Amino acid sequence: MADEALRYKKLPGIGRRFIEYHRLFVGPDHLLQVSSMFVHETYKRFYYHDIQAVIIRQNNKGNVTTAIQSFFLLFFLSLALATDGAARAAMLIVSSFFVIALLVHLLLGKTVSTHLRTAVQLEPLHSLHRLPQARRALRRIQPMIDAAQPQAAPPPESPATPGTESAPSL
Amino acid sequence: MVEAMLEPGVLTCTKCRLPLPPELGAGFAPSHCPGCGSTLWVHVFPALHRRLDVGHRGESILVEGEASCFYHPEKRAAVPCSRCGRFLCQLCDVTLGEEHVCASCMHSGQTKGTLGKLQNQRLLWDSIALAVAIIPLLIVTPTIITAPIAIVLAAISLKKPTSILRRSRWRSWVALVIGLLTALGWLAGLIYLLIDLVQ
Repeated sequence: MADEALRYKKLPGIGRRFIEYHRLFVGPDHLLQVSSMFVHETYKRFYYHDIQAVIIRQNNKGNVTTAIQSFFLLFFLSLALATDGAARAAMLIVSSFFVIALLVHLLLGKTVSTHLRTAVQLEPLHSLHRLPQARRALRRIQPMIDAAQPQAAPPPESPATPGTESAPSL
Repeated sequence: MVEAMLEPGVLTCTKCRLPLPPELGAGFAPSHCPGCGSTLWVHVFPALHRRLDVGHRGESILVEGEASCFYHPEKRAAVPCSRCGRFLCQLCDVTLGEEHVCASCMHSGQTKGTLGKLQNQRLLWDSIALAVAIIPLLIVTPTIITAPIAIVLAAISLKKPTSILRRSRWRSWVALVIGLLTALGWLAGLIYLLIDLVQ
């Protein structure tokens, strides 16, 4: 079991959906997506020689978050201006939290939805929800996918594939 | 809709599901979906344009006395199962890396967890034991019941496989220690009360 754990290296990013959180790990011949919910884990493996494409699409979540944080920032700033003394100080302190949150949000980069495509599925990678994260992850896995998918070689056998043979060349 | 999304060699936008032009996929340069205008970064790999393997149905027995498949007596055996030794035709042969297994062994390997590559979920007994040991401590009183349960769960978790990502079983040991200390605490308290009553 320790050998199994040593095989996996974590990719940047954690994705959360309700009570479940998702992480991505690099394995020797596959990518591992782990979905954790309290005391239960689900694993999905994507073998490098099966990965056809990675599609990163910018979404509106970043704009919505910016709008909400800006609204609250302006709200508490206006309260600070409308009050004085201890109340003003308190409003300014609250505003500063929103300033920090907004700066962190902007520095983290654009929000994206990342999908991984194989022959049989288009799987969302929930942990890669920021563009810099997704790019860093892609830079790490690309050499492994390229090594597993040589340009001109015939397709290798996939694990858990019923006995097959390549189609005869014409 | 699913068939359009996964048409061989054709990528689709993940928002509007329209096919993307073949020239997309130039690495990290952004491009735009012609349907919804979404900004996309598409990275394509050779597998997208790879021909799908053709499945083999297995060869029929031509010579009497030839070894036949366990599941298809009319088909010629190609390989034995690495796990149970049954003869398999090319249709029944499931390749797992270097191994050839039958569908039955693959299923039992997956459900019993003996085929690690196929295991797709796990219950984390060490996390359960740790939660049962720690959370009731917030209220204290339930620990008279939960402490022994935590000890049992910790013992079970030491035998069960933990997450495939974890390198150690510290959770199990911590749960065991906390459970034992809590149980001993209650035992000491009960003994003290008994002595007090007797006196």
